[in-house]
Amino acid sequence: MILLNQSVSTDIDDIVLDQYLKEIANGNKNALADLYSMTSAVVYGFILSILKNSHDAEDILHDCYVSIYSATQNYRSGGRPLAWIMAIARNLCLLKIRERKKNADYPYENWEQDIADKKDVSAEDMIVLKDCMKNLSDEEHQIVYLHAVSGFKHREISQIMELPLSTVLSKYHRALKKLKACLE
Amino acid sequence: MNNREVEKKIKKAYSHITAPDIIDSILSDCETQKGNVVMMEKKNRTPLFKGLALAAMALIIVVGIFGFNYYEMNYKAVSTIAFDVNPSIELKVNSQDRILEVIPLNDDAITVIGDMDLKGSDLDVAVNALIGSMIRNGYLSDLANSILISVENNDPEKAAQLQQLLSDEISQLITTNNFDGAVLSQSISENDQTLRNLASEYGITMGKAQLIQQILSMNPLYTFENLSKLTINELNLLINDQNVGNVTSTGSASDKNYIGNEKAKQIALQHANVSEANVSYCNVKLDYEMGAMVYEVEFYVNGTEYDYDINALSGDVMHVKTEQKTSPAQSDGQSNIPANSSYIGEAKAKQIALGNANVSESVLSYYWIEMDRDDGNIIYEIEFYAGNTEYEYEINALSGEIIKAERDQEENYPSYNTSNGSNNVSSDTSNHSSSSNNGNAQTSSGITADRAKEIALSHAGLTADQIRKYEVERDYENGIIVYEIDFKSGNYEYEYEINGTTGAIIQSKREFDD
Repeated sequence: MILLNQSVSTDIDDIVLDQYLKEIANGNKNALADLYSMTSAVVYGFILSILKNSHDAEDILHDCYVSIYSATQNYRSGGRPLAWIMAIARNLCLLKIRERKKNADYPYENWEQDIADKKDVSAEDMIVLKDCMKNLSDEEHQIVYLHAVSGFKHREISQIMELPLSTVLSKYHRALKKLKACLE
Repeated sequence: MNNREVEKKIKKAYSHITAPDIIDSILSDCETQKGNVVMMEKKNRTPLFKGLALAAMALIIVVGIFGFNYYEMNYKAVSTIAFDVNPSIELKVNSQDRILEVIPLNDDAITVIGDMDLKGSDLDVAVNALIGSMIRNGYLSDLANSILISVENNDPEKAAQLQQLLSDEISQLITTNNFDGAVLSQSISENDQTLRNLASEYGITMGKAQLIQQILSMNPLYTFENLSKLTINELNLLINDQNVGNVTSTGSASDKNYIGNEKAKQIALQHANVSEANVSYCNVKLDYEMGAMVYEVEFYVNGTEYDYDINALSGDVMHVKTEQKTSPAQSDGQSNIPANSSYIGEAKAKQIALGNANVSESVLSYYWIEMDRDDGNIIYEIEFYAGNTEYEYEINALSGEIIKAERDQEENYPSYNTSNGSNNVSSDTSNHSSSSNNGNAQTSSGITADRAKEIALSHAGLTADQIRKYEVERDYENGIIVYEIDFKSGNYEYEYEINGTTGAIIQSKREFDD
């Protein structure tokens, strides 16, 4: 029924997304399925970059689309729909992190393993994911994901992350410098 | 390796991530969500629990026959009733609707209860006394008239009945005090563990936690944490007469503490310098943003859309956005910017933006420019700060027309140490050249590498003869000129990043060199 879009980048048409959201607001579930196949990879990658645990990420991905379904009535088109979705995902992740803090020895950070098991993963890819991204703070990691992988503009990131643009820019450049040092 | 190559490698590594196929489970949960929330609570009961409940009921009947139900009737709490205004009070009530216990859940509640001893009194007497005290103490007033009643009782019918009764009674009590009340009422299930955890974590009642969860499901851009700090009146204003799950609402929340829709609209129109006659569409909505209640005012004048955020208490303009709605040209689907020699150029675009913002070059911090495609047009996207205001522009790369202008006042703007030399910076922008990569070149709008060195040394508290292995690199990243400076002194290694336009220290680092 559904072909999962394998891409984590946002070559996603805003006009089509807007249309899906309008149809979901009218209760059209096929539109939700279409929205999922178009956006789930990029949303899942973002959630994974925050939670770093594939089991938790799957839970939050689930909750995120259920939230979208019940919230579309309040969605106002005009902004970038994917940024709206990412902000919802991030809010849900922050709740999860709060919940986690209560049991300190939570066994998280299993996500690189899941990727390592996949085909076509080069040694360099694993270095990027395992060694280099580890040097980044959580916020830097999220900003790098949103810009370099998902293709969001810095000002869109500042809206999603609720950070001033200047902070996003300086964190991004600091993160890239660290990554450059790691890769060279 | 340049930034683009690093970004490419990261993107490639992440391309192996694929989302799990869980759409079926999402779709089936959406079904449940649209159903009645009360139904879900009932579903949580396990057959074992039902069996126990039946057994307990049978026991009560047997005990009742022998006339030993005295304890059950008088000392067992069968209902918990919570009132939230800002004071949050919980009442434990027995089957005869008499009060067993009054529990204040915050400091305001202690004030409301005072030295009243309500134990043993009838529920309606206690409610009368508590509402009276809330009004006397100003918690319920013309300015904030909302109260949330949450009823917990194992018997849903009894709960609904109590909910209705209390709602009517309290509406009436408030109305006799010369203003209209807004009463929200709901039933809650004591067995809801998620709700219990949230309530204890944020120090609020389960009732308020349930209300917040329902608002979040309508608008997931709010966070639980932010909403937990709001009063019931503020939450009621955010609900804004929409239907919320299983909450029954009577009356409207008072916005008299705020400037009001009409006033907010007038402030926005005046600020935009447009007369009401030219406005084709206007929508005003109360919202919660960046820690404050704001009026969102949206209107159109001659094809330009204006978006204002007006502080609901003070009437200050917090955020302005204008956008010209041009008919979207046909996009050819390519993300590359086509080569065209008639673009106005980055320097000219900057001049247009600064001119429009009435900001002089010398007070800029963080300037950024990028070419982009928008609705089929090629544009310059420009972002910069002056003082604590952030500006964003979109300028048509061919015509120089301003497509979008946005200014945003930041409250928690990080302070930068602007250099003392910034007064010497020339404000002449016409000769600005971004292609210069010579570390010693003096650009008309920036500081020299020597000046950057002075800034770094003075920050480190060192003189030029105390350092060795001095290196400077001038980098141009996303429109920001940055001097990357490295040197050693004594046993330490120093690293600086200096903004090449303003002389601000972006990053400084001192590390023991072993």
